[in-house]
Amino acid sequence: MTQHSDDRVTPAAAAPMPLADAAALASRLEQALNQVLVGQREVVREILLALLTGGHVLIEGVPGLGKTLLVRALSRCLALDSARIQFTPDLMPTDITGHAIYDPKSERFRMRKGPAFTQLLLADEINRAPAKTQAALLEVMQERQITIEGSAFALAEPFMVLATQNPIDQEGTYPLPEAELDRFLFKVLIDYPDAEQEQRLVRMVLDGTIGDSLAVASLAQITDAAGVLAMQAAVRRLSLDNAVLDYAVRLARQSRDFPGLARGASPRASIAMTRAGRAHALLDGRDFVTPDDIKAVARPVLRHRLCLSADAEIEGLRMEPLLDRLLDAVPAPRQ
Amino acid sequence: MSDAPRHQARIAPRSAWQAIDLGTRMYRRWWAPLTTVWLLTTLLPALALWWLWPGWQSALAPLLFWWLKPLWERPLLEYCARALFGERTAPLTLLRQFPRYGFSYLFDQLTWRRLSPSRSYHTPVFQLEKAPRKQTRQRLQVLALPPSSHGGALTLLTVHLEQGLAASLVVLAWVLFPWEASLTLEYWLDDQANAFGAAMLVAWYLAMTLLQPLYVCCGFALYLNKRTWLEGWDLEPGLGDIGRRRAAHIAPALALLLPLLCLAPTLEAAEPSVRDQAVEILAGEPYMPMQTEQAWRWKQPPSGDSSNFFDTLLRKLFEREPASRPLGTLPWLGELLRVLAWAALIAVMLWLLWSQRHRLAVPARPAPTRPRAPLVIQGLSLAPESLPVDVAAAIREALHEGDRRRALSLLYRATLAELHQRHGLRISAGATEGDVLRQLQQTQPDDPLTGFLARLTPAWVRTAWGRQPAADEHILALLKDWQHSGQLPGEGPA
Repeated sequence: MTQHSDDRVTPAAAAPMPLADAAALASRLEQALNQVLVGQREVVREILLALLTGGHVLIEGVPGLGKTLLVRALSRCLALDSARIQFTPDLMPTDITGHAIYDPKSERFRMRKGPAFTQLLLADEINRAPAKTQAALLEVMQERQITIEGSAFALAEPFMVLATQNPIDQEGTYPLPEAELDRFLFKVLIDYPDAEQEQRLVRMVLDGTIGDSLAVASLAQITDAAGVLAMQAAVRRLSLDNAVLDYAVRLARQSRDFPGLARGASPRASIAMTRAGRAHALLDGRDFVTPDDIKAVARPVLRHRLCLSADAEIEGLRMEPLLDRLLDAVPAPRQ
Repeated sequence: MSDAPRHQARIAPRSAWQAIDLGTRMYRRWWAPLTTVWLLTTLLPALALWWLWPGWQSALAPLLFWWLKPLWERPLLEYCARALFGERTAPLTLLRQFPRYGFSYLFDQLTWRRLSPSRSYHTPVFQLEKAPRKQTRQRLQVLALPPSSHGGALTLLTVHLEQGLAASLVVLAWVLFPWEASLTLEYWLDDQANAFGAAMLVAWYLAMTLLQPLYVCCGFALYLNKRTWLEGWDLEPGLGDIGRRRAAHIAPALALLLPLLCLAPTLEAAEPSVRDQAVEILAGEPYMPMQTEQAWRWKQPPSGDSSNFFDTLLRKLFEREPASRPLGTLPWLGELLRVLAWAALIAVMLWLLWSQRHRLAVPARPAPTRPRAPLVIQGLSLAPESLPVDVAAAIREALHEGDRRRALSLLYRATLAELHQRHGLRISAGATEGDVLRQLQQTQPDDPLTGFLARLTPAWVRTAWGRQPAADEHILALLKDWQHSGQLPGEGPA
């Protein structure tokens, strides 16, 4: 298998960015996204955390809540390439990754790259496609490369997958396999904005402050790919106390023996919590991680990695209350 | 027992298991008043005991309640004994009359006879016959003669039924509990063993409510049956029935012969009746031996209640056996052993009271408006005694030694301890510093200490998790703030 470099620009090793600058940049980015996506502050923060951590996000919510708008706004603010794939039952893996076409003129195979060759990939209604097609994203998400006809093509950095799924309409859907779910850093729940925020949204659309379509032209570019990579590097420099790391591990381990859960979190969840905890600390303007940071990211990290037991499902138990109990049951570290 | 028509049960010699069956029939007929009597007798004492010693961990309350079972059973037996003769006493009246029937040999049954396996079978002897001690002992020996009365088997059966029923009630409640709530319960129980203990106690009490009257009825039926076998209680009612049947058959003949009979001297008038003869025989020496007893007794106080339990207790404690009692060649030895035995018993009871004095003390109940939280949370002690007497001086000393982390730690703990004292701050195991602050900002937004904690938490978090201790001046400023905002209303500055 040969290794190919993508012809898109991959920033070289980003220069170290001071933590304060990285925090300020992230804060500006958050403010800009909140201007577009009204009433979804928590969603914006979690998407931003995933971006700073270098992870992928599974977004669950009913249609019409601005998922596509969010991706476009993110792409605009960061000056990154973006692509959208509408997953359907007849979607083939090669429709995502690309394929080789025989060119009779040149008598050679020509690579036709799929939409996955981008930096921000919106996989809309990912559970509409069968497992074979979903699995095409596995290599993309984990190894950030795409193999076509034995040749591996590295993707441009930063690369982020934002997949959506509809929680209501489950007819004709294919649940994501555990291996793929585990590769998403976060599962973000996007819900209707509260009454006050919805009123504000409608008023802003009526005033023309924001467009009612997916127009994001009003947004200014905040940074670029190099800036994103610099922020990600800054996140990795944050100090992490051993007790905080131990807290994240204990949360993941406790989930494996927790009543009401058939399947607990893998070690990948512990890693995800510590990484995302660092990003959370940076967004809060700190250069160290606290147990509060771990707890703040524990829900989006764990909610798609855990599986309710059959009894719990029959009894109508939901994942969110169970996560609350898990977080209450695991002792927070004390100094 | 001689007034046959008044009996509510047919007096006949039965096997022991048939007698127990008679007891179950008695219970089925009188279950409502018996259960009422049981509840009136035991509910308040049970609640009082479990209020004094809550939870399952302290086994003293259930142990005490179990030990006092002979006391709780006395009104039940009294009701059975009266109901058998058709006398339906109101439960409240029965309880008011408790001093009349309740204290006979009660001390024996609560002490050295407590573990007797035939308790319900023997209780009628102690409670209903009220015979002198010697006759009681003889009666018990007679009751123990073969064939076996199955009094012990009845107790064994009841104990197993009681435990099984209590466990079944708990399991039933557990099964019927909603799953979501049971998950909460499962984690709640880790810290709240008292609630689980309370559930166990409630189940046990319900099981006793169902079974204890049945146990008393069956024991009473066994006692009746044994005496029927030994003393032929069934003969008189049987003969009476025969007489009544014959009287019915020969009534026409008697009507014809009446004039002749009127002329003849009436033998019945001259001869004593069968009943009188029976009474005379039963009162005779073989059945009811007479003896004269001389002993020192406590003089009854003029206005005292002769049925007072303590008077009865003292009287029995110092009661001396008659001088005619054969004690062999060393009459003083028996007295000495008796005194030693009582002294040993009293010493054991005093020792038990002394060793369990901390349990006997009524625990301080939390004020309803200020629930107390556990004082140690995952190693972070909030107990006032874990802090220095003079927190401010200790903080200054730590700063003087250059240990700013210890100084801030002391300040943080002292603030939490103060909030705990004021508002019963409850901190779950999973609560972080941020959670504590958010909780207080929601529940106690007006307390100056909440505002102070909002300033202290970032400094503490930076020191604890960021390894970036605050400056001495900042800590001293926080200390000053704490001394001002930490004062309770009416206190001066520290």
